[in-house]
Amino acid sequence: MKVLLRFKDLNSLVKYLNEDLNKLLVAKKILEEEVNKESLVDIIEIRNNNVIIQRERITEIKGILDELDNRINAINSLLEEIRDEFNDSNYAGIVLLEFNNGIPKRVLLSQPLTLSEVP
Amino acid sequence: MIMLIPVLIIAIMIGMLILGLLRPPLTVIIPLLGIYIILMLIPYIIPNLTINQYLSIKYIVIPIIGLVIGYGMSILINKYMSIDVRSLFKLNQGQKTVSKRPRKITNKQKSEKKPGIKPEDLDKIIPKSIDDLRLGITTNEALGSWIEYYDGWTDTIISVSRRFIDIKDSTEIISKEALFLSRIRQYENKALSLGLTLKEESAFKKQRQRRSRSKSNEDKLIVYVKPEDVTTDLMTTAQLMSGYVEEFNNIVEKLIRDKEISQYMINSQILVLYIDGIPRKFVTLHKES
Repeated sequence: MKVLLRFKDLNSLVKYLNEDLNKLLVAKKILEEEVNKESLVDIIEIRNNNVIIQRERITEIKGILDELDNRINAINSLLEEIRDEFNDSNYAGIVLLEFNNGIPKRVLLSQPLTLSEVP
Repeated sequence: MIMLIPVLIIAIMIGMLILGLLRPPLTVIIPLLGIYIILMLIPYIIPNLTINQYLSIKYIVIPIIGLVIGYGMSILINKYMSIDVRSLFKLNQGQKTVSKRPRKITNKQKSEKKPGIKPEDLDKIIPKSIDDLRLGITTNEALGSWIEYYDGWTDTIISVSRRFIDIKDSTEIISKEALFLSRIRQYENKALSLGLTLKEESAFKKQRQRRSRSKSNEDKLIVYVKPEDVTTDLMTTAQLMSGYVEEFNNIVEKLIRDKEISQYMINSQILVLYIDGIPRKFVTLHKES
């Protein structure tokens, strides 16, 4: 399944990706620490407008670490390719980030259509 | 009981008329008509059953007429009044597509993946599926699943709300653009009659050519596309994301208003678990400081 996020230019996409990457790296580090400690945590879940609180071992959610790694790699390669291609210069137009099965996979660039005289 | 069947036939006709307005693909229409025809043929298949005089072969025509009228109206309105009838039913259609699409795609993925699975891969696939089930990850992944860490509840709320607003804004712009681009042909005709043509800016074309020479199309992470070519993707996004934004919105509302949650969360460090792009679970860490 593909979904798109729209950005006003390439710089804001890069900013978004960098912020997300930092958040993911921090979260990964913390989660790994907690998993090693096998600490007990409270998990609050909102389901069908109800709040469910459960006390569980953090290892219950360590499956997410794989997803995190995939995501971090995907964002890294995107940032790398943007750097190669644009070398810090901006691109204004239609900038779309394509998520393929939940992972940011590609950047689609397009131009708004403009009116001009028939050649 | 006697009145029931004419009422049913009229209801079916109205239903088919609305269905026609939505112009669904043949795969939806044909099974529906099939079921109806079988119903109408019951007296012929089981002659002893005297259900009702209205169950008759000639009433097969009624829903078809309904469908044709709906379909025709939908096309005519679209052409002469520039209103896409289907977009007026946006909610219905959105739900339909959301519920259908993931299933379709899983089937496709399964059929693609199946021949490629090696026994040793199963060792990895099975625990991952179990993990996914435990976390509640579905095939409807939208923006995917990940976690974020925050020092406190206020930071968490701010960040979650910010992400929500970003996604909502993006979806709104995409919906507008999709609508515009889907009508691009009409605009083009109008423009042509004024001696104008729709064009992309030339700088864009040069870049695209340069790129296509240096790398093959498939492994590129940055792709230049014509605006018309992203139309379908934009439309799908607009449909899929409308339900998603609504769900996200409910969660944000709950987080902000619910006193129980905020009392519980205050002064704790939090891992936010986004599942299928929605912050569903909040893990409070008990750190001994």
